[in-house]
Order: sequence, then C-alpha cells, then structure tokens
Amino acid sequence: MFESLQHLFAGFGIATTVANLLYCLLGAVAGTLVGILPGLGPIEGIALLIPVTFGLSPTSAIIMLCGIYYGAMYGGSTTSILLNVPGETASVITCIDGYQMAKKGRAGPALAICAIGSFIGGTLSIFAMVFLAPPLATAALAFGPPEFFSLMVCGFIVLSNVTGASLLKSLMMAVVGLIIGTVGLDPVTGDYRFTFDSTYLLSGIEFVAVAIGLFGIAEVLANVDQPLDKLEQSVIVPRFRDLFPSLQDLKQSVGAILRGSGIGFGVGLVPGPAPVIATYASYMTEKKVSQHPEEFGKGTIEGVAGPETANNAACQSAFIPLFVLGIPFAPPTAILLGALMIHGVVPGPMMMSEHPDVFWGVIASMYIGNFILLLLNLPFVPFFASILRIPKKILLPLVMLFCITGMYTVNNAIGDIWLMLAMGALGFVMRKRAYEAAPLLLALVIGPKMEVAFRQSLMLSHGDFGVFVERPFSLAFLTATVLFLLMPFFQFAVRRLRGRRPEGGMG
Amino acid sequence: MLPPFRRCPLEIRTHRTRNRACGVIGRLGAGFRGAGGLPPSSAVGFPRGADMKMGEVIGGVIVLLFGALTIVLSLQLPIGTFRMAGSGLFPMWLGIVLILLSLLHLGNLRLKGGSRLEGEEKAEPPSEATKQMMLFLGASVLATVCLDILGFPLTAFLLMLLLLRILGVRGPAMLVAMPLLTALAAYFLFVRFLKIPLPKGLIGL
Amino acid sequence: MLKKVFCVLAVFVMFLAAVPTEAADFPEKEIQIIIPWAPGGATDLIFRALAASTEKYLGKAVVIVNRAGGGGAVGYTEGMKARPDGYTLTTAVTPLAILPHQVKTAFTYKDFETIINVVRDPAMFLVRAEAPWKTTKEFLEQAKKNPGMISVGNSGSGGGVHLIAMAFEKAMGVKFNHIPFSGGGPSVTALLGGHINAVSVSPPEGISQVQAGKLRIIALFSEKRFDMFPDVPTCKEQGLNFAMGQWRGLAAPKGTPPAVIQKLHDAFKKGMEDAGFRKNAKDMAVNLEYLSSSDFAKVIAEDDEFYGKLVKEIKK
Repeated sequence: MFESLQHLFAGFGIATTVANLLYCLLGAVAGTLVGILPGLGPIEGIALLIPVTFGLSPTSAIIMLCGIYYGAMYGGSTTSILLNVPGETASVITCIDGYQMAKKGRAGPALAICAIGSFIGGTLSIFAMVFLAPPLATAALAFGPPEFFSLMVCGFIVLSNVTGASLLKSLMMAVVGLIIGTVGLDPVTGDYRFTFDSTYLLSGIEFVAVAIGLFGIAEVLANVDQPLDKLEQSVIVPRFRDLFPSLQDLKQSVGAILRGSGIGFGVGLVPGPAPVIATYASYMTEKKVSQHPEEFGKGTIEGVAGPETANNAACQSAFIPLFVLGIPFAPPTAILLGALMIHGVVPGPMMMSEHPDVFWGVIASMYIGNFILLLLNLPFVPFFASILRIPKKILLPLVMLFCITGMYTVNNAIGDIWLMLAMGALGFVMRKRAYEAAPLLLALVIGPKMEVAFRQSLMLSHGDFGVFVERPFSLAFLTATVLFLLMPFFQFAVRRLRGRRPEGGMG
Repeated sequence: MLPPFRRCPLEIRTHRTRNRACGVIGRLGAGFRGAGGLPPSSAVGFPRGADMKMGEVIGGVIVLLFGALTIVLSLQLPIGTFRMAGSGLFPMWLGIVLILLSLLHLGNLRLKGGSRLEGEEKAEPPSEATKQMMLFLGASVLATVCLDILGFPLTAFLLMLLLLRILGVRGPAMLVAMPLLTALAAYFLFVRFLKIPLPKGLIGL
Repeated sequence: MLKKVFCVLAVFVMFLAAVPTEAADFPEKEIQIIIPWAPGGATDLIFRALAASTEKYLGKAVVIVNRAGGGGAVGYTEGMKARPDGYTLTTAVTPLAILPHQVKTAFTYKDFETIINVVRDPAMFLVRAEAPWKTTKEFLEQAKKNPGMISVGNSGSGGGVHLIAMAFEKAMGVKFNHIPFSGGGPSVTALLGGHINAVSVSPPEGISQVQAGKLRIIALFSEKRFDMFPDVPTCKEQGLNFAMGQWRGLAAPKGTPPAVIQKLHDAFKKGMEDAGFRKNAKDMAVNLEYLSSSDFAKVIAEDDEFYGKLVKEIKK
C-alpha cells in the first residue's frame, strides 16, 4: 500500500507538468461541450477526439481523453437541470429533482451541487481505487451470468418504483420498457425481433431517443400547451444570491454525497451500464433515508446531490476493471481501451508493470481532471442558470432544435428523431395520466442485459434452474429481492400485531 | 357554467379528455370510443372524479392492448424451451405479465372509485393552448421530413422561424436573425468544428 | 408579408451560394468510412488508426461513422445505399459474407466494390492458464468424450468467431456448448472468472491477458505462428487441418468509378505502410495483410460460398 502511495506521488509529478495540465484542461472543456449537447455523451466525445491525440505521447493522450470523459459526465447534468433534457443516459435521474429546482429558481444551487458532489464522489472513488483496485477487480470477475441476472432482478424490482408514484403503474411502465427493449437483434440466437423489416429497428430502440423524448420533448410540449400569457409567468427569475448554494443546502447534501460516493463506487464495478444504475440506486436510497420523502420529485437538493455523486463515482470505478483486467465493462471504457491500444498501451494486468508511468499518471490526472472540472463549472453556474431567463418563446424553439440536432448526432439516423418525437408525444400523454417515465427508462437499460444473463445462465447449466440458487452471490441477491417484495406485508403484519392504534391511513 | 365544448377536429364523442391533448389521445381514444360505455358529452355537473376515472380506465385498457399485441407478435417468433430459449419466449411472458398488471390496475380503479386518483387536471383548458402544442409538434415533424431534402442549415432555419412564429414572436428582426444565427452556429459547431455529419439535403449542404 | 418572403428568399440564396462547385479532382471533401459496429471494437480501432494515417496521403479528412446494429446489417445496408461517388466507404469484414446467409438482408457482397484488404486475423481458442489441457489434442479429446459439456464463449450468436467455432466443431467431429456474449470483452471476462471453459476470439481480444499469463492459447487457427507468441503451434502444425480467420478491408458501393477506387486504393495502401500505423497494428497484435482490390474480391466471393454452405449445414 505504501508503494502505491509512492507511485501515486510519482504519478502526480507526471500529471502536473504544464503540458499535461493543458491537455487535461482542453479535454475537460471539449468534453463538457460534448456532454452538454443532448445525445452526445462520453463515448462520442472520446471517439471524435481520438485523432486529435495521435501526435501526443501515450500518457498525455490518455490524460486528455480522460478529461473528455469527465467533462462529458459533468456536462450532461447541465441540460438535465436547466431544460429537463438528459444530456446523456446517466443524467436522467438528475432531471427529476434538478429540473424542479430550476423551476423554483434554484438552478444555481442545483448546478453547483452537481459539480461539488461529482468532484467529491470522483475523488473518493479514485482514492478507493488506488488502494483497492486489484482485489476488487478479481472480485468483479466472480460475477458470472447467474449472479448478474440476480443482481439485475434485484435492482430492477427495487428501483422500479424509484419515483414513488403508484407501484402498479410504475411496474406497468417498467414492463413496457422491458418489452420495448426486446426490439431488435436477439443477442442470444441472432434472430431479429419485432423489426418489421425496417433497417432502423434492427439496432433496437435507441435509449437516448426515448430518454430525450420522454423527458425533454415532453417537457417542451407541456410548456407549449399553455396559453401564451401564462407561459412567461411560470419562470421565476433567481436573485443573485440564489445563484449559489446556501449553507443549508450544503449541509443537507453532505450525507447524500457521501452515500452517493459509496453506492457509485460499488455499482461501478459491475459490468454494464453502471453509472445509470448507480443514479437510480442513489436516488432511491436518499428517498428512503430522508426525513421528508414526500419532497422528492418536487426539487430536493439531496435528489440531485446523491445521484450526480454516484454517477461520477461509478464512472471512476468503471476504470478499475479496465486498468486491472484490461476489460472494459461500460461502453465509454471500451472506447478508452481502444484509444489506449492505438497508443500502444495495452491495459491489463501488465499495464501496471510495463507502463507504470502511464498508469499512475492517468490516475493522478483523473484526480486533477476532477478538480479542473470543478473549477471550470462553478464559475459558469450563474451563466448557465441565467439561460433560464431567456423568454420561453425563444427558449422552447431553441430547445426543440437543440434536441433534434443532438439526437441526430448520435447515430446519424433520422429514425431516431422520429422516435424521439413520438416518445415526446407519448411522454406528454403519460404526464397527463400520471404514468412515470423513469421506470420505463430503467427497464430499457436493464432489460436486455437481464434477459441475456438469464438465457446464458440456463445455457451454461443445461436448463437447470438451480443454478440461480446454488451460487452464493446469486442466492443472496434473489433473497434480498424477495425480502424487499415481502417488506410491505411485514410492515402491515407488524402494525396489526401492535394493536389497532389509530394512526391514520396505512401506506 | 362550463366553457363551451369545443369541437375537436377529430370529432370524438367524449370531449373532456379530448380537449386536453386532442389529437394525441383522441387518436388513441378513437378506437376505444365504445370501450367503457362512456357517458354522453358535455355533462354539466358530471363529477370530476368519474371524469378522471374514465381517463384512467382508457389508459389501463391501452396498456392491456399493448400487452396483448406483444403476445400476438411474440407468437410469430420461435418460442423454444427454457433450456434453449427462442426469441419469442421472453417478450411473450412480458406481454402476459403486462396484461395481468393492467387487469390489476383496472380492478383497483373499480374498487377505489375516482377520488383517490392522482390528478393534475385543471378545469377545461383553453383549446388555444392545445392547438398551439399540436402546431409546435407538427412543425417539428415537418422539419424532420425536410431534413433529408433541404439539408440541415436550411431546415434548422425554417424550423426555428416556424416555432417562434407559433409562439407569437413577430418582430422580423428576431424572427429572422435568431433562426439564422442558431442554424449557422449549429452548422459550424457540429459539421465544421466537431466534424459530426448533419443531414445533407438534395442540394448538398 | 412581402418583406418576410424576401427575407426568406435571401437566406435561401445565401445557403445555395455556400454549396461548393463541382471540381474534377477526387477527393475534394472528406471521406466517410462506415463501421457497422459500436465504437471500441476491433474493426473500429484498426480503421480509426488507418484513417488517421491515410489522411495525409489523401489530402482530405477521413471520418469514421459508427452504425451499429443487427450484427452489422444496419451499417452494411447503409453502405450499400450510399452514393457511389467514393465519399462513403464501408469496412468489409467477414460478417459481410456471412450475414446474407443467416437472415434476409438487403445487401450481399456483390453490392460492393472492394478497394483493399488491410487485416487478416486468425481466430483462436483461449483457456485459463490453470486449465488441465496443454495441447489442442487434449482439449479435443475431452470434448469428444463429453459432447456438449465444454462451454465455449463467443462474441455474439452468428458472429464471425461463433461460426468459426462451429466450423471447428464440424471439422473435428466434436460438440461444444456455445455461450453467446455481447462482444469480445464480456466473453473474455467470463473466461477469466471461470464461468466458461474456453472462448473463441480474434485479436486484439484477449491478447493482453495472454501476455500477462492469465490465459493460454489452446488452439490457433492460422496458417503460421503468431509473432507475439512464437511458442504456440498452429492447428495445422499439429496435424489438424483447420485454419480460419477474418478479413477486414474497405469497400465502396457498387458503381463507384474505377478511377476513384484506384485513387482510394493507393492512398490507403500508403496509409497501411505508414510507420505509425504499422506500430499501432503491432501493438494491437493484428496481422496486416494487404490484398489488392481484385484479390480481395476473390477472397470475399470464396468465403461467401464457404459460409453459405456452412450456415446451411449448421441450420439443419
């Protein structure tokens, strides 16, 4: 461990050369810009800017690319809060409370807390990573298809009712999300499902289109669905001192941030779209431990601090499998892997020994990158917050154009735009009928993976269902799920047993 | 005294929920006009609870039908066994679960009556707003159609123009300058600077 | 009203003026390469590196566009439909010859004109370092004795390495239990975690783990030995007549003028020979194998026939 510290300091030495700092900054700026644009996320950002890094030394190149990665993660939350448009997949949960805060004129604190929380989450995660990386990576390997399935089921059931509206309706939306997720190529058999001979549908339903549609476009439509005179009234112009978080805000967020870091770090180790799941898990946790759960969904700062922190922490810990095992667990890390390889650095067990300068330099620059992003973002908070001052008449068309453009840049497919608009209309209707969009999105993300894991497990065990309960981790997750489902009944039974003390309605 | 019932272009019988999102729900609701034995229109004094309940029932029915559709489509795919699952196995079960859930939901509604439902529905909204929303959406749809024909910069310009106009912006300066700036800015940012391709129209932009 | 119309017209004219005029030289603007897979995959990495090194020889930017979906079908369909003017190319990888036999696609290899082949990678089976089998023969023996019990992972059902694994099965008369994963990464991870017995991959997947000694190459399906691992015998050397790999090259839509194809071919050939690119390729352990347009076309045609037969047999 002491050795690790030594290496880390050496890494800092490398990372803090003027040139490298500059590259990190450039990457961070570029990444933020990319992240702000809806649709574009860290993957596209890294992919686009790889050629720019070709002339640099491997260390510098990776430092720059990591900067882009973070920038994109940070940038994604900006549009979520201001416009209810998820900048990228992991910012969906931030829309829920973040946008409500913005509507109340509290966009500034929301944005600031995002930056602060992300920074803390990322930093804590990095330190944990430095000391715990190898054993954790090996532990992550123990996750085979059955464990993965059980974990997904557990997460899915627990997180479906994340926004707390009617459980039944949330589950319905979740199942709809699962069904939508089956469209496209069946990963196990290679057959096409529900594609109706359309080339567009072959690649499945694009998550980003659904997310931007259900959240962003639906919000725009809901806004437009108001008489013109009312339209401008609903904007609360923040006072200057409201542009920064108050001490109260900070105090309230501390717990959320710490919990978010832990959750994010843990979840990030699991293969798959970890950051998204981490945000849902953090939101759920904050609701459960809060003194005022009914405030969630109306603009609580914990609802923003927790998920954003978890998001960043998960992004960090997603690097662990990449660097230690050489295997990318999440799509952005896959492309980072590619970038590394192009520069001749093959991440994996050998990386620490063969290219220690790159390894530790990158780790140190992650820390620095986080810091730079904090510095970059905080001063811009008032600027971003005042975007909301733009009269809605002008802002709404801009947002619509913004979404359409951003959507196209993801896959260069007009079909995505149609899907987004259709989802926007659907989202509009769903709002009117009090159906939640968040469970649908979660299902869309988790569903396909869950199904694949299920079928893989059965293929491995030759059809024996016992495989799910014979393996310890898998059994643990399934038991947790069952307990969770039974909990309301327990609570009911306990209350009944305690006697009929009139306590107001149950549930 | 309720505001006069506005004729929705789609001529749907029950108007309450239609006014809200005329075309969207209307199109869906049109198929289920007879679904719940909906009461006659413009019922003055009709309790709002039952009004929301009708909307809820329709919602539940739509979900139910979606589940049924899923099952029907899944059956066209190989189902296989659990050991060697075919593509259709999972969606089929999902469809079944969805139908069960929507039945539960509808049953719930029956039991609880209309009072407990979460609602945000204000009194009859001015249909002017709804028309505005439909136009807004329509303009966006039109723009999407035009993207491949006119290319990005031009379409972006026209879209912004239309949308601003729909929302009531009139001054020619704003009406032309803003779209122009935005379209050009987007073009240069994406196509030139980031090298991300945007739709090129037939005129090759 | 008239003023508004005038304004709109003026803007329209302005846009028109921005359209570049026709020039005789190719290329006069950037070239796009469609990659029918998600970023980060083997093809993606190789061609991004190639794009960067070819830019200087071509004089214009070479931009990569990912069009994942349908196992490659989405990208190939789009590539086929592109204008045959040489500005939209597609990476021609083995699935191009496989997909049309598996599902109803809008394209076949005949809808493309080959430009050049860049990489030819063998496939291989990897096992964990502590696995009990030391040679390919031992592995096969166990498989013969326990049909369907040895689990072999692959990067996706119907994908290149999956079919190669199945072809190997047929050639050797054994039966494996094929477990599909969503990509090469997850399949290698599963092997490392001990959830499957072996994995079918193509470089650069798995290379770093073999270098680190965590995994071993148990069967190598190439004509000659790997430069990076000179101690590993090929199947052919052990008397097992089996060698299969994947090719990765470039193609343009049918109807592209031959002069344009020639220009592209020459530029990319220079890009391939570029020192920087060679180093990249070496680090990724990919095997560069140049094939001219006509040679490449022959290979694709042969493989298309071969896979057609293979897929039919497997489907039985």
